[in-house]
Amino acid sequence: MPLPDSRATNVVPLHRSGELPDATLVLEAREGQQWAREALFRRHVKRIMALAFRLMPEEDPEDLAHDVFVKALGSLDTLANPAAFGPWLSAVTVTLIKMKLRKKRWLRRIGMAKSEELDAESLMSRDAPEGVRIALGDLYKAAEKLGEEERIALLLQRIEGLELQQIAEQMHLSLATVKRRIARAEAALAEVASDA
Amino acid sequence: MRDPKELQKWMTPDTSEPRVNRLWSRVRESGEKKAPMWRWAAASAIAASLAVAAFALWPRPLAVGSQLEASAEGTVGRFSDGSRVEVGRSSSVRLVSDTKGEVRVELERGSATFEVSKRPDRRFVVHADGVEVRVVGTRFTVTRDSQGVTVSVERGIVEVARAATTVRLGAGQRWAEAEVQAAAEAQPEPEPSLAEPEPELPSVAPAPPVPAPEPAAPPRPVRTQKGVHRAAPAARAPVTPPAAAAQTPATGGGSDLVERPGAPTAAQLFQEALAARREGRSAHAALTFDRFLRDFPYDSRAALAAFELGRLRMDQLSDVKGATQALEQALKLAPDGTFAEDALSRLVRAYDELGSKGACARYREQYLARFPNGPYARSVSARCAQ
Repeated sequence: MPLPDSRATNVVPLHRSGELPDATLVLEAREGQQWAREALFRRHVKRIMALAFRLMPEEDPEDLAHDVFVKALGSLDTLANPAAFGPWLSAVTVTLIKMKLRKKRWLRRIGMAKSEELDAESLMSRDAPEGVRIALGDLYKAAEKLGEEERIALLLQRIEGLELQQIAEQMHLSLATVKRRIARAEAALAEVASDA
Repeated sequence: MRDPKELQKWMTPDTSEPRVNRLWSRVRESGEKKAPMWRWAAASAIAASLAVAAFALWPRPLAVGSQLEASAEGTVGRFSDGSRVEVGRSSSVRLVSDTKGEVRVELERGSATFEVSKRPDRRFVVHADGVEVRVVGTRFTVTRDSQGVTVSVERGIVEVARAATTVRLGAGQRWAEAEVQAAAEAQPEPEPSLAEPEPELPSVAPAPPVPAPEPAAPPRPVRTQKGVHRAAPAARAPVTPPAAAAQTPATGGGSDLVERPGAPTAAQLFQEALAARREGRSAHAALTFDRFLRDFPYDSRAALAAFELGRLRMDQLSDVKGATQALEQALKLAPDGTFAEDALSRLVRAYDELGSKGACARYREQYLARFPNGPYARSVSARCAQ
């Protein structure tokens, strides 16, 4: 597919960039083309905001997505396979959220952050059916009790619907480690469900 | 196990077009300012050196009863709660008491600028010749000379108590004992009221510079929001409220429309605030947004700055009251801004937490009327219970 004549006009209507694959946009963005950066952002932002919101609903998804895109667009040169921009962006999101959760845990431990219970009810849509409400409530109650890797692995599996191998790739962990994390998370989930 | 797609459907954030557009503006601005790695490394090395130097030179906290006196040059002192004082030349302060609930300082002569750590459970009181300045967390200057006591606030709110009357000063406001007396003498009846309306923060015009203490002449340079410039001798009303100051813009002196050499531009301040926020330096980011709003209240980014300030105060600094002021300012500047939905929902939550049921209900109604199907409609509806 021919590239838009960006260097001649310096401006490319955004709708044209929609025809280009991620790999082309990444290469253009690496060359400093702002329109390509914006096109990548607009193509993936809703998915990334949703992923961030579900993994760390206690934070503003806008802030999380902001940090993800600033980091990702600033380090496009490190992306080995430009065609895999989407999964790579998800992995950047997962890594960033893991770091934020870890920081939060340490701040709580040294008394510099309050320990607040996550109100899963307030995060769901008003019209969510009772069954969904209970399932999500249990998931986030269990997530609160888990370490950051168990929490993320559990939510990636149960809400994002990823396979174990995909979770391992996004979290930069081995498959065996992911299985151990999920097993621990499921034990916590079972405990929460039995308490209820 | 439930189908993940079914769960996802009910757990989605607001990804409306205005929000995405706003987010792209932030990402683009942050990306443009991203410095190369070597600059970060150099900055880190410099910061580490400065930290070591600061530790070595950091003044020890003042002991109760001790006096901090400056002769030709000013000096800096620190209190046990982290608050600081810059004592002007030929000036002197004394730490009278330092307890769990209160720090009390006496300004014996001259002028001193205080930067008080925010500690809601602890009062910081400066006493100067019968005038008492009470504060929770702010930066302000007290001057004591033959004309009386003058108080000038750079940020935050202070209360000035004199005899049986109390004045509340907001950022950019100034109170002068001599002018209060002159006003009282000029209008013997009725008794002049010193009660001021709640200041609307941030001020649209900074206070005029504070005159230097006698016998220092010529007037020493006074640091204001805009940098360093000479003190102006012009007489002012006892308290200069922002609204009054706004009626005479761009006439020099305290006008925020006058650029002074060396003062940061609006873009610089805004970028500095964004960078601090990105790096997790929430307090600095909030101060910089606050300063931006005071220095550039008519800038096109002022509404966004106010909104960001509100979010920082609410989420990072546990300053819910301060957050309401900033969020209300954001809505006032841009009632239909892209952040209006967020701001309204936050105001509902903030006033609920503060126990202000009336304000909470008012904003709740506004939110539900404007965004009946908004992502926060559910949580907003559950707020403001009597």
